[in-house]
Amino acid sequence: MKLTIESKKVEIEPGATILQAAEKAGVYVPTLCHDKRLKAYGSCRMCLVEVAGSRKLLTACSTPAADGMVVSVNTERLNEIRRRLLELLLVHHPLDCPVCDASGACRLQDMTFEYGVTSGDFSDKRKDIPVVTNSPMIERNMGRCIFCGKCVRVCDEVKGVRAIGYSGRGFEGSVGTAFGVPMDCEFCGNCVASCPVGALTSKPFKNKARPFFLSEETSVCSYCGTGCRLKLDYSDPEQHSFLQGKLWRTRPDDQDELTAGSFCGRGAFGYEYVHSADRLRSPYVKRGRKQEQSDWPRALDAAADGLREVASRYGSAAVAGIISSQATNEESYLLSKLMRVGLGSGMICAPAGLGELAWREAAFEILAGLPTAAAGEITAADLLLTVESDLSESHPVLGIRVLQAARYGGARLIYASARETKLSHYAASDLRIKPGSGAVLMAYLGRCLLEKVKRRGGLKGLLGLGEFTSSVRKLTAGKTARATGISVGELTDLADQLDAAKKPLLLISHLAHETQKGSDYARAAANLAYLLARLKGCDPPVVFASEFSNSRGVLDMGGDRSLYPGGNLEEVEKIWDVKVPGATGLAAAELLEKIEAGQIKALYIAGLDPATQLLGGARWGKALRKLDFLVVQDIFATEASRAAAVVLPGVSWAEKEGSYTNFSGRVGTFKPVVKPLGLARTEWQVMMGLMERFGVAANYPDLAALRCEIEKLLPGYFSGKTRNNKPGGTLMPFVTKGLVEKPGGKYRFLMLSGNSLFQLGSYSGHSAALSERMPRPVVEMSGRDAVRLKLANDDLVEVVSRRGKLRGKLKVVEGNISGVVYVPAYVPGAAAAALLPAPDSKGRAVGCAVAVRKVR
Amino acid sequence: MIVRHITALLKGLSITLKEFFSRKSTQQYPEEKRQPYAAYRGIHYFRPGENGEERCVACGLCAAVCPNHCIFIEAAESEDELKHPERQYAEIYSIMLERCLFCGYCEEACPKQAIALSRRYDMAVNTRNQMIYTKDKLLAEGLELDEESVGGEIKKTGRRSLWGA
Repeated sequence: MKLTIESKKVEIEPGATILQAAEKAGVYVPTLCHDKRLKAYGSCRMCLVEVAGSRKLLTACSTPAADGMVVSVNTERLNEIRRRLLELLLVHHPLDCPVCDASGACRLQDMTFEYGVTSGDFSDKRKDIPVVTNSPMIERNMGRCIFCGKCVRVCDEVKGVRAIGYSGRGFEGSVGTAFGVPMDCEFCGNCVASCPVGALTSKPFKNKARPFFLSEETSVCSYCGTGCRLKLDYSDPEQHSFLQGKLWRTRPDDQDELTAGSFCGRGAFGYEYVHSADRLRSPYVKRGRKQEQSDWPRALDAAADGLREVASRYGSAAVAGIISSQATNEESYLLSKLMRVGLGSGMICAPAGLGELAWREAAFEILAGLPTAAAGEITAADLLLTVESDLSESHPVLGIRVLQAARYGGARLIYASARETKLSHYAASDLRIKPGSGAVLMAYLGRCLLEKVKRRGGLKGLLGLGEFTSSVRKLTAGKTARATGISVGELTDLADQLDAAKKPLLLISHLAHETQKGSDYARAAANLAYLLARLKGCDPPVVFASEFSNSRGVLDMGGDRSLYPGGNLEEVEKIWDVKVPGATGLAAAELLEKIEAGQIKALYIAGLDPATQLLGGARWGKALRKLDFLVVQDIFATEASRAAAVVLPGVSWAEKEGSYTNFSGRVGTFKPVVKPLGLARTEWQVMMGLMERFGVAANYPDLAALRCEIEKLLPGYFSGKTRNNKPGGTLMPFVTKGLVEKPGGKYRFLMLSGNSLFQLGSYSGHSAALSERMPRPVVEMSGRDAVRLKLANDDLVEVVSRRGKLRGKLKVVEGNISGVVYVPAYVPGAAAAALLPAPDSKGRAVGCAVAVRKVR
Repeated sequence: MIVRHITALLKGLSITLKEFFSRKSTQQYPEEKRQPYAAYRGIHYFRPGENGEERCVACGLCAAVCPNHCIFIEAAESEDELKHPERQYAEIYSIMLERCLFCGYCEEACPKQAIALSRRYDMAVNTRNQMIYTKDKLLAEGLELDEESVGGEIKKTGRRSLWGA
């Protein structure tokens, strides 16, 4: 289709609107209520255009373009209309720009300036509506509202939450919650970010900084593995009238194709930890029993001497390293090199990515790489199968994609889980399965597909076929139905749907705290993905959402035992020019056992607190105190850092340069926007300092030089060219492994745990807004169990396991399966990790038996 | 020749004599102070609000317009409705006077007529620190000055100004 806009010719796809055509032609059309994520609305009338042959003026945002249209955008008549529209909006608008947060980044202000509206012919009383401050995080100033409806539509169409809606009529109209109760939603901040004026404001940012004083830098979110691009608004004392540099807020990046301009509560309100008062500001070295403040040269010497001493006394196998999954690629690479070359120890592990590791191992054996589709595949799919994974909670922005595909993209969403969550409400089939039976379900589906692939002759070159076939031969529909708790009819229907779909997609998360998932889950998922690929003739259709911002990168960089950067030991030895110690097979569980047995005497922990973040937290807490020498590099004081002989303060992601690799292998780089706090130093510089002390060549004047070396091992890693899922491969036999700890007796509930919207890792606990929102865990329980235990919503309950207990607020979810309680991990002061058993080396799901009682 | 010299001398002396009896143009500064013109731009001050509130809402326009970047503001939210009716106020407000070129843009940009430039010009101090005018100092300065020197009348046009009430 060809049309002419402002005498520019442009060609577009049929179905596009005039606005989209104008965008393509590079013609600016003013809009207030348009958002590319939303359906056309046409309420603000700013985008009215003249179309030759039409007497009426048409809204560019909602009128489909037609072949041969001649469109004018900037005529005197249109501009006069726009001026009048703005005058009308400004009749009631309070014009409190001096105290409005949007001032300087306000669409209405910009347009008033653009169209020169300095006075108006209309007059009425200005609105004097009290500001609604009763909600956490978000404040509503309805006097400023211009009724573009973006917030309401974003909340419904994008998030599917519908927390806010219109109320009242005409001049009395406003945007609010039902009956004016405080907002109780996901607090994703998308409404605030989409507001063109200052009607919705973020409480942590409100009245603190002016947008025109802030500098902007594109960065990546530091929380989950989605890897959303974020815009950081920070103050630069050298450029503007600020006394200090500070990160003031984050905004979504609408140019990012992954997010399309959305973000989640963690991205929107989770930046405050950067300036938290709990940050470590100086190195500490233990003298006698007390930690004393120190300086860098002394702290680094102490760390190097201590590690070296243990290595020389007990051998280098007595020294181990643990790296957080929120460490950058560069740090992970350096730590991997420091441990392997400097200390000669292969004992390095990334235990926070436990789930990933199980998946990775399964995938390694099957697909020779970590196969995962990019976010775009979710939108393109026509069938989405998610098994015991709630992406809308663990990866909210991927969740948005899933919801959009299910609601508007014509995809069938099949949601199988023990929990009823947001996805249940939008799923075409919502299957309530028994906890931990997802692996069996997927194995059964694999078995069904196997027949179908065989009939179509697609099994050529597939290894491990015999073993896989015999392992699932006895997995009949009846047996699967009994194991999962859904009917045989539903099962066969599910298999048929997978077969019939043109572009099915498996959506999987495998997070460290998901107690029902073991390595069998990863195997079943990988098998199924591989069979689907054979059936549909495509790449393995699976989105595996990684847990933390760099869960995947840490593994790519060789941050865990048998993994080397690039995966090839010989290549690594060539580039590093040393003999690298072989894989010692050190899983987190083994590491813990070895510390307890006194075989590992020194530990270097980079960026995490085992007691609150790792499975078997209670055991970790004790084990750390058994060590001869402990070095902790973290940004906050933790239980581990208090036990450490040397504490090295690190910096947050806003203070350093680095990169994170997201779930699909996209590498997001970021630059520092504020200066490191106090004496804190970037982790990679500290690691270089240590490498120097161990006599390891570390000739990296800057990160670019370091990245160059990494790219020698992983060609094109930072430009996103390395991803290749090799065809061919092996199916793995499926064996149900069961749980380490099963419920029974006094502890009759199975505790499930996972990542919540507001708490993830250690950062969220130090971000005031997020902590305020979830100060204590919300314990979910099914309606039946609640009635039996005589518990009601908002009761304070205690969840007790054999290892520990935590207190939380009860939430009764009618649709949850009974016999299960769900507890969010990582809530500060109530870490689920302390309740969980440590994983065993067989790769079984940990499970966790708990008792629940009311606190009086 | 000699006569010419004598007349020149007398001429000179006559001027001296005339000036000797005419009005003195020097002032006994600092005992006596010069009154500058009405439009003179001197040291800044904060105009007090009508009911004793702070006019400044920390909108930052003065800092934004300042060509020398000598104004520093940090905004905050207040609970005190009487003192800060619009909730937002300047927690830190300081002007580095030694950098200021007294252009008066800050006064012109201020939407609340909070900051103004007085006709005070005596700003000699002993240390640089004293040249930093903090909010307290600016407020005290405003209370000291009489109402007469409070300038900045709002212009009224035929059409209703959007910035008016």
